[in-house]
Amino acid sequence: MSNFESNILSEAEKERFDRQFRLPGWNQVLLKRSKVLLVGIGGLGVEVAKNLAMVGVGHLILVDLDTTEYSNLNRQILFIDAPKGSSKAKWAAKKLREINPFIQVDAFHSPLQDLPPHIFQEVDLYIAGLDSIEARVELNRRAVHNKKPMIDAGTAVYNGHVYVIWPFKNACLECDPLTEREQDQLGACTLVGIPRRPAHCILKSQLQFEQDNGRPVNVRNTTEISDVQNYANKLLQEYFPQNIPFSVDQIIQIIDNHEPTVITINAVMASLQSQEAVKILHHLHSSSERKLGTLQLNYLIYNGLTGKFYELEKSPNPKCEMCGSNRTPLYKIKVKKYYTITQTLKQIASEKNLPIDKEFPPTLFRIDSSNVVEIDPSLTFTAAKIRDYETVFISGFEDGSSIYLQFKIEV
Amino acid sequence: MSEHEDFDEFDEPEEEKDEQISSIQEKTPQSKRPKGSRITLFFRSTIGPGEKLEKLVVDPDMAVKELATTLGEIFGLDPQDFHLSVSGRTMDSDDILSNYDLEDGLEVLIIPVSTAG
Repeated sequence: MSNFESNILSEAEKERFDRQFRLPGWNQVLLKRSKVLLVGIGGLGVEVAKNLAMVGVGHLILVDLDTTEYSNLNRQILFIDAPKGSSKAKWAAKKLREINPFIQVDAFHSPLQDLPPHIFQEVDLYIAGLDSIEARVELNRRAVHNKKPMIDAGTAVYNGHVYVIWPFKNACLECDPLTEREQDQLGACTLVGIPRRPAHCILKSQLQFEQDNGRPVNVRNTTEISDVQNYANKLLQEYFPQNIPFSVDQIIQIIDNHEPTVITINAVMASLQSQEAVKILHHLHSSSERKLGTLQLNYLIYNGLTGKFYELEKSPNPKCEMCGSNRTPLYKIKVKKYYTITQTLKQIASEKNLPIDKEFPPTLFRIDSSNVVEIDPSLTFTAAKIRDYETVFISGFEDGSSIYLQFKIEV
Repeated sequence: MSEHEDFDEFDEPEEEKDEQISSIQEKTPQSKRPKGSRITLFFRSTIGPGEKLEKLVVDPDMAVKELATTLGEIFGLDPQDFHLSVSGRTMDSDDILSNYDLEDGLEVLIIPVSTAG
């Protein structure tokens, strides 16, 4: 059906989207009916959100636990007129509704762990604009458990990557041993310890300042920075005499630890994420044989200093602990809200041949939450506040095994 | 300034050519070569101001961490700023090389640790 003749789109929408109706294979109605979850509304997330709003994706759900700062404005255009300290998700939602009044935007000012679980189930795909491995791994679990594509990206200096995780088709984020970049804070390095790495000299100097002054270094105060620099370089000369003395920039970067980022790199990566999202939505929802393009399921690296792209094919690790043979099984079951958890657990245990020790029954954990707690199994689903599509982790069956259970709660 | 730019370069190309050839020659010192079974690998950087390719002969019992340190020196990079990717698998710095399917001539990519959002 032609977008031009659609009775689902208003006249104003037809006029607004006229030029993209002319794109071969494009389906505006399909996009209007799509629902996308954006996790992390920062350098990448703002750009993706702006793109998808302009393209006319009908329903966007934004999540970010952070608030706006003046230093966001070199790259996060939606926050230009935001009062300092605004919820990123909520302010972005407000701006997106101004950009495109024809879409629905919901905002959650919270960690992704605390989103109502049904959202992960009902959206078409997830887009990550996250800044930590931990949060990515958490979203990856939701993607694998709910079998949803997750479009990840990240930047480092002038580099970036984009990777569409399609659970069970290509590698998930746990298929590789992922080693997080160690934050070189004073873990094992103290005031009295010997610096093991050159950077430790700066950290020792910083610590010395804090001890002498009873407060942190003010990075905008040149005298304070130069004090820290002088002592750091004294230490450097003592322990690493072959090293070049630290510059002011290096001192500031270590003391005031923030990743360097710039709109040009963010915009490239976010646009690649957005374009893949548009294609994936067409692939998921179009009934016709002719899909819009082919999906990029390889890991794409961009080097902004050379203008080169690199593609890595990442096949699933057959032994992956999240999506491979070593995974903890997930069972999805429908329950009535007045059932007790114990009753349900006994039933599933007998169906799946999971032995329960009567004296030491398995323990249930609420994991769809930033606060992982034990759940009292004697309660009903209502009393335990188990939400629709919530996944719980159950460990300690008699044979040592554990499982995940995801509940569809029925009245 | 722009007017004169067209006239500037006349003597660079040949030197550059030489450098490109030398850059894929072996950098492992003869004395440091491990005895027994060694593997010849190529390393390509996807980060930094210019793409570089280097050839290195390594001992399969070598720790990934140790290899990263050596590569950091050769490529002028901080080992914390990159991972090594071989056949689509990101190597774990706590592993040793023989845990990966490495064969002579294989290309290992030096990839960014791009976690910022």
